[in-house]
Amino acid sequence: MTQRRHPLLQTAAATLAVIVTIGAWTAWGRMHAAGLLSAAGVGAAKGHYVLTLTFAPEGFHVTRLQAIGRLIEVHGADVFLMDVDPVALRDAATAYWIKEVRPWPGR
Amino acid sequence: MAGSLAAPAVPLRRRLERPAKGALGILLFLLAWQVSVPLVGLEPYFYPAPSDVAAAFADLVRKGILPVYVIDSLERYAVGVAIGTFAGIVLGVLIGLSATASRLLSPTINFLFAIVEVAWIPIFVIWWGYGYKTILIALTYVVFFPVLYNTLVGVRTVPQPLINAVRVLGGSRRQVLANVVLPAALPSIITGLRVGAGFAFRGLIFAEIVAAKTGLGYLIFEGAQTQQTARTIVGMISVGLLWLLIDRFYLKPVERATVERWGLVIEADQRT
Repeated sequence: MTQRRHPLLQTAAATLAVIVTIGAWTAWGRMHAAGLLSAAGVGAAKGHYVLTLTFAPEGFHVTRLQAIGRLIEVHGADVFLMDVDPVALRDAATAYWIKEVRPWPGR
Repeated sequence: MAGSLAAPAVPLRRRLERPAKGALGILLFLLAWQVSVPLVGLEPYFYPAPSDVAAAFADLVRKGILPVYVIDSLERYAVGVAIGTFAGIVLGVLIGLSATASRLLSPTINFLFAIVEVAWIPIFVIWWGYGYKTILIALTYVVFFPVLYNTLVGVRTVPQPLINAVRVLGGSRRQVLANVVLPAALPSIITGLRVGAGFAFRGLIFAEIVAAKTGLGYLIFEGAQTQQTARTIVGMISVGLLWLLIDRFYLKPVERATVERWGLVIEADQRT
């Protein structure tokens, strides 16, 4: 005869696993964004940037990037944006599919 | 009480036997599917192979699309199920305890029960537009009825002697509700929640097909629209897997814990 585990133990374990995964994911995203933004020298004011993705963007990515600034054009994996809000850029750059952020003089 | 339930130890081999057989069944199905593709000889957009679906899955993850859609769908699902459950319990208890409320609300609720959420969604879109609100209201609507009817059954089948006992001891209506009616009805309420949560996925997918630009329902629809059928199948498999995980790790354990705590369960060592 053995003691049966309480049924909610696996619920608690699953919840803990979800929380840890989300926490780790968020922390990684913030570090990733900080690295990209410091390399691009992003300041506090709005600016123009080129975001290089790890692939040619689809509608999903274009829609998301349109939300952080004026999307001017897309060349291959490069997305050219003007008047980008730095706070929004920091949020967007947490995505693992953004490989590089570069300043751009704009047009 | 639940923690003290005793059960005979099951050998590891026997415990693994069932999932192993299940996994073998899935493997055989995938193998038959993969082998059938060259035999059928249709274009991948018409009849994709499991390997195409796996490639589409990897592509959706690599591009960050699937994680975002899963999170969006889960968020809508959780909020819709929570609101629908709350509304179902409140109205179920009210109708179950009050004859006046029952006479007043039952005809309307019975009438609305027959109108499925699919019929409402176009109206919801007109009223609240495409997006979060419409999806949430459609989901709430789907979850509401199973929870309400199960709560009603639970409340109406509370043994009267239990209620009388508390009343005789001077218990107020609130004490009867909190200490007798709700605990006694809880197993039924949880069953209603489980049924409603299962239906909620159907409502979610349909609402996202009609009213969203993200989410698994949208992925399923967009994949079919753009002839990326493998993506549609990834969306379908994701929905199925999410439901299995939610049921396995949340709904089933909560139902079991509730039944063991408040339901008609006899401890193993008291059965003899």
